[in-house]
Amino acid sequence: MLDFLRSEGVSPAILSEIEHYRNFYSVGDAVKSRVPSPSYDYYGREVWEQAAAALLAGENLLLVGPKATGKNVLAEGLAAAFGRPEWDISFYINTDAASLIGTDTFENGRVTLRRGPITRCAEEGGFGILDEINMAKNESLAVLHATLDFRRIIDVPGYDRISLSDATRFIATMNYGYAGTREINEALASRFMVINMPIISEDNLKKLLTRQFPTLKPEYADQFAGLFQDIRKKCDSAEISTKALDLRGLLAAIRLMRGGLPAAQALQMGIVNKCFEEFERQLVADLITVRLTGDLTTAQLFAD
Amino acid sequence: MEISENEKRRAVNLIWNAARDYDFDPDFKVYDAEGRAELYWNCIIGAVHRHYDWDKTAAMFRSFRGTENQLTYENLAWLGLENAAFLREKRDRPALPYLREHFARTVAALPAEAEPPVQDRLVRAHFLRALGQPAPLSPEDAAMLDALEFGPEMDTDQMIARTLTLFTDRLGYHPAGEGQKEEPEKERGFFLPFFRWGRKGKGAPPELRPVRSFGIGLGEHTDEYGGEALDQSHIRVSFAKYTAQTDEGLRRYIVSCFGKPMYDQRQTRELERSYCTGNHRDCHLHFTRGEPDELPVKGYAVVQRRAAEEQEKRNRAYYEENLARNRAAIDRLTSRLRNTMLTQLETTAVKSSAGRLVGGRIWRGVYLNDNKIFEKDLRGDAGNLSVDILLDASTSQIHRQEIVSTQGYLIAESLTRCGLPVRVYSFFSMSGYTVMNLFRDYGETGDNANIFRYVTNGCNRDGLAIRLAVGQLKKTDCEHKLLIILSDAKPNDVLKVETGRNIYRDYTEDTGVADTAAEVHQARLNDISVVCVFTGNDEDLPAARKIYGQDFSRIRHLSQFADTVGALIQNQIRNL
Repeated sequence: MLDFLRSEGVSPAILSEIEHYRNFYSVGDAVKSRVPSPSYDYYGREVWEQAAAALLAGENLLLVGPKATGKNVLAEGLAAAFGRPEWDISFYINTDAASLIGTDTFENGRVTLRRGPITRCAEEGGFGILDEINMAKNESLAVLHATLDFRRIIDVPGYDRISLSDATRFIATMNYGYAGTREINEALASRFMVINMPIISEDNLKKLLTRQFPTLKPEYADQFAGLFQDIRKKCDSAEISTKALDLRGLLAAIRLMRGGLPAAQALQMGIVNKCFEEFERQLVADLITVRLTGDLTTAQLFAD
Repeated sequence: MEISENEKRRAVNLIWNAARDYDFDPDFKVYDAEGRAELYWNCIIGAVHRHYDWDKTAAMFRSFRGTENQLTYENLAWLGLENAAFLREKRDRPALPYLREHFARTVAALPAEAEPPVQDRLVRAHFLRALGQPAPLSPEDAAMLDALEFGPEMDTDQMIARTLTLFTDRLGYHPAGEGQKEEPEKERGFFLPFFRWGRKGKGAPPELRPVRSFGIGLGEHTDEYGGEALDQSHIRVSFAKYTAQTDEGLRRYIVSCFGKPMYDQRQTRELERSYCTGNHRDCHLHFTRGEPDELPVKGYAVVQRRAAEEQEKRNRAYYEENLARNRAAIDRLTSRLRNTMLTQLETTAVKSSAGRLVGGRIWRGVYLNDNKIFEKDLRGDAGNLSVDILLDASTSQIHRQEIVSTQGYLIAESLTRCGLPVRVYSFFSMSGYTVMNLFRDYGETGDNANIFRYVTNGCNRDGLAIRLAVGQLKKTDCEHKLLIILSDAKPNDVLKVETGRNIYRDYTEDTGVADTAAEVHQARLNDISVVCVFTGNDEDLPAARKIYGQDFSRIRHLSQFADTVGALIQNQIRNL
């Protein structure tokens, strides 16, 4: 992972700090399996530097951005780069204190605290990924205030207060930028350093495609990256919903093409059919038709 | 043949995509002979915008208008632009040569005419060349085609200069003034024969006026090449379905009559895309707070605004006239609702296997192996109920305007006093637009008097209005949602519903009632309670029953209002 960061041009000073951090904090054997080994890399030197610098300084991060900007890829990449176990916590409307911190339960004739993911993460010095943090009600998240600010504690009534391990960091993600998203309140936002995730550039997308599919011919990497930008523009201008703006779907479609499926069918499955409305499907299919000919085969797309 | 809204949107999307500019307002789109958006040509239009100076080319096309050979000039100029834009764009878009080839094959497959006009000869030859086939042409024609097939290295000025020189030398074109004859507005730009071999039947039907044949299909000249030529004064509402120009005119008309929009065009498009589907396809939306637009108004809009002001005065006067009775009604309704909320909406604790420990139950865990020695609170506080009120503002309510506005006000004021978040809209439809007029939003507790701005207009597309209100309600955080509709249960709108392929039914009576009932059902599936305060006449009671089931009540006299509506809302609160 650090080699990748080096190749991305991340400042040597930051890299040596990360190395220092990795050597300083050990990972318990029980949670070693939680240290991620990402399948995708996040491209963008500046964002890497900002994020790493904030985490090194002991801050928590809030990654804000629309769909397909790589929020979760970056979060996972950070846990990998810092060599920390990761807890993925998805937030939803009914997320409450109990589901985050823990709740009383009765085991073997005793009342015990069933520890929630935040508590586990705090004790083990993990990286907690608070996915879609804005989906929970702000009031339910008040319980995290002491955890996320300088106090770095979790106080569960009836039990000892738990102090966060020095290695613990929280990285929240929040989908923002399209209609229908909610905001988080100031009290919560003030406990994070915020990175506005930039939209993946055509060049970085090409890099990503070439790295994932080393034999993909460059002219087709251009076309797939261009297609993704076309779809994004259409979403930005509200002509279609963001359903078709699906980077995972595009990568999966190219994987199917690699496996021998004609391009048109693979894109149909990976992108077009993500739209459930007939007209929207038509618009997305048009984007593909004017970029790629329908009869493209594996041999035409890949060099080997 | 009618070009559907979807195909128009599709064409403009293709153009935007190729132009890489979604702010571009293309005034020319191309459809195939079946009325479907033409993939290749719309890409070319976008590419011309991307690679060349669109304003200058638009000015060139405007200079052809009214000339005797307008069609010839237009066709040949597009032929030149097509060649140049294709050569530039194909570098970025490897699929373009395939699309061009496909189009060229369609052209080549058409039977050649005995004596085709010059543009037909050249266009056919051009696309035969594109296919690599021999194109029999006279030496003169061949020379002209050579000159018109612009290369990628030429810029806009060079292309325009060469085009105009060619037209002047070969076709007798006279720039500006000479040779142009003034044509009356009604004849300009409509039904011009293009490539005759590409036309089917005897010509386009009258409703396709701005859409004339282009290539082997149809071209839609929505505003005769650009904004400068746009003249709004002749716009008639009946044209709205067929051209983008009049769409814009109609939108402005709606804005000037009923207030500036709450959402910008992009957001409105987004809303229309999500809500105007199925039975409400082709409908447009206008969300407004009734605030007048800054632009000067004229004509009917002035009359409309003045009438609305007069009606507001009458509504207020009616309320004031019966002030004592109305205040009493608010008090009664408020206390009824408050009581119900106190008894029904308290937090209830349930026993569970995790949560807050109850000391007195621990023995059950030890001796009975019953893990439910904890309590968990189930939320049900009053703050979690939000209420939206929808007032039917169609002309069928014209004789009840004062009553409906007072009823709306009474409910809103009582709910406000109970501390419940309330939002009040009125709705009606006009010329395909469903107008949602927001009088007061949740936080605006002091603005209930805005409801007196209620005024009736046009038709009512109840199904769409309910769908919109439900969509807005779904976005709120409250756990319980109540939608109260004050309506006469008589859906009726001019835009028809497509019930089968090319089978259209009026949005009224059974069709309208069924659609509205379906939307109410949908709302209930989304856990939104819907009740109706029926304001209509006896003969419409069966329709109200069909739409709202048991959940409506009829107000025969305002003195019973508090009790009747109170009981209705109470029932809903109890069932939350």
